[in-house]
Amino acid sequence: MTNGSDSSTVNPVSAAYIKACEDYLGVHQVIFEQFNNRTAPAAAFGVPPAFLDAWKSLAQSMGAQVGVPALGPAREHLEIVQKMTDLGLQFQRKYAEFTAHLAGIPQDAMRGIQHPGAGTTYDEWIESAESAYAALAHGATFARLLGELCNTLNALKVQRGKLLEYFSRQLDLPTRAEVDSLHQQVRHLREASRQKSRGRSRGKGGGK
Amino acid sequence: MNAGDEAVASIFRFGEQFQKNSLEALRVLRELGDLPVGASEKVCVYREDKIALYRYAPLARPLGLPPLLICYAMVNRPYVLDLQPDRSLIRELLSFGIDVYLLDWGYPDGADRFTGLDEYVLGYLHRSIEHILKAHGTGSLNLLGVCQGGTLSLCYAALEPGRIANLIAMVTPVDFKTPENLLSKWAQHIDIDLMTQAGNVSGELLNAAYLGLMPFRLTQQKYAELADMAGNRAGLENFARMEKWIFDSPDQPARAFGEFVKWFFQDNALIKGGVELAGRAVSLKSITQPVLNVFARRDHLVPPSASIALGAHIGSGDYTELGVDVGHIGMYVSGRARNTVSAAIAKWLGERARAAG
Repeated sequence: MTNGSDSSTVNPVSAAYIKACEDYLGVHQVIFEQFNNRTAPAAAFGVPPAFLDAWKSLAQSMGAQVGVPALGPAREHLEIVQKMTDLGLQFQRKYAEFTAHLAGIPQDAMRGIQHPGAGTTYDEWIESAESAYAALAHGATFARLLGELCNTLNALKVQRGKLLEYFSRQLDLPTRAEVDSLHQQVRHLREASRQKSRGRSRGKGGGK
Repeated sequence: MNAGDEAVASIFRFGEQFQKNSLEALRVLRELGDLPVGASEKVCVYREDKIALYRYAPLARPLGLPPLLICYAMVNRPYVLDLQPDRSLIRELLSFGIDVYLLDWGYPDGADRFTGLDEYVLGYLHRSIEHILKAHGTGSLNLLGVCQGGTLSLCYAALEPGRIANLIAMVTPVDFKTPENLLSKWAQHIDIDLMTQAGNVSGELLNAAYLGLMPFRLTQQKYAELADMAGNRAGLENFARMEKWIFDSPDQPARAFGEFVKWFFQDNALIKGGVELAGRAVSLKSITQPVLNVFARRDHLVPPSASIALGAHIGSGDYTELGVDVGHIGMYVSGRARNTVSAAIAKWLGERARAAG
């Protein structure tokens, strides 16, 4: 009989499996941390620096374009596109930060496996992963990062709406603003109509 | 064979069986196709914009109670209350002789973007109630609010207490800031003005939030367990119906949803005060009619602590709590809740009707 609490008697295959999983997840942890750390040397990823430098200069040039003031006849359109590009980059950065915040969960989950075996490991891993996730998900950092992601996406949606509004106007198509305005008018008319009906009912009731 | 070899062989045997069972379960699910939902006969008695008011056909001799209107949440579809004949809270209520109505909020779209909670509560819900009262020639009915619909029902009962004879709140959030409430923690940093400006909130986004509450169970384990259901056609049918319901989430009207998140999740205004509908302040102390509060002890969406706060904030002297050992959705469909909940509701309503003479 083996005793689960005695590490010297743990099934060697299971122990090797867990070790391999931990190593694999450890590599991911390093990548996430490096990805989130913009000052990390490119070589740390094992990727040729020239390759990453090309991406870096592209990102920098995009960032520079975002900062250029929009001028000329296409000013309105350009301003929206710049804002969208800026928000897209912001979203990428926040998403990387959020992912890095969660990166330790799979590794923590592996530590919760008490009874390695074909039938039980998976269920124990799920339980353990949920516990590790819940510990983070209830935290202030998780809520802040998630809120920032949502807010950035919503800001992007607002700008997308403005861009569609701009194109719809150019093509003489009904715009969202026009449809919204009509909906508001219908709402006010219906409310006015209901108030009149209520007034008439009260008038009839009072006459009895 | 040594212990290491045996362990490896065991993993391979398990994997082989798992794959075989999973494929069989998936084959049956493909065969099942789109299963019908909604088990009980009903007729639409009132319709306005996207909303529909249904009346269910009786299944037993009427108990003679005031009609019962069910006000379900806007964030999911109400057919989970009548999913299939053997998993239907509505059917059970009908079998006790209760006259059941259901308010279906429908699928809001861009035309509802500026519709606020005042219109949903004091407009659509109010006019549905007026319709029922007129049809029955009575002054008040019983109201059963479920989940978010429970919160809306509490607002209505507080503003129009004379129209509600008895109020039942089921898995209803009241205190939105208890420590277990994960959704509330996440909602604190959302910029509501920006969200409202961005338009209606998609059902897909809401689904992602729900899955995010228990991501490993809800996006992995649940599907891995399909392998255990191979050969269990009835079980797979249940699974398919639930799967359909879970992801059938309507988009949420921007203004109403923004108000709900701001007032309830961020400001906890249902208990702290500050909710105003059409210029009328909502005070839970105005709820003086009998209240039955049914909550799920293992609810991960609306923690029990969020529901049981109700008793401390209402003005009613007749308050009853019923905790059921199920999860949020289990309240409507699980075997454990089946009959327990409907029987308790029928008994409680019957006692209140007798007391009222």
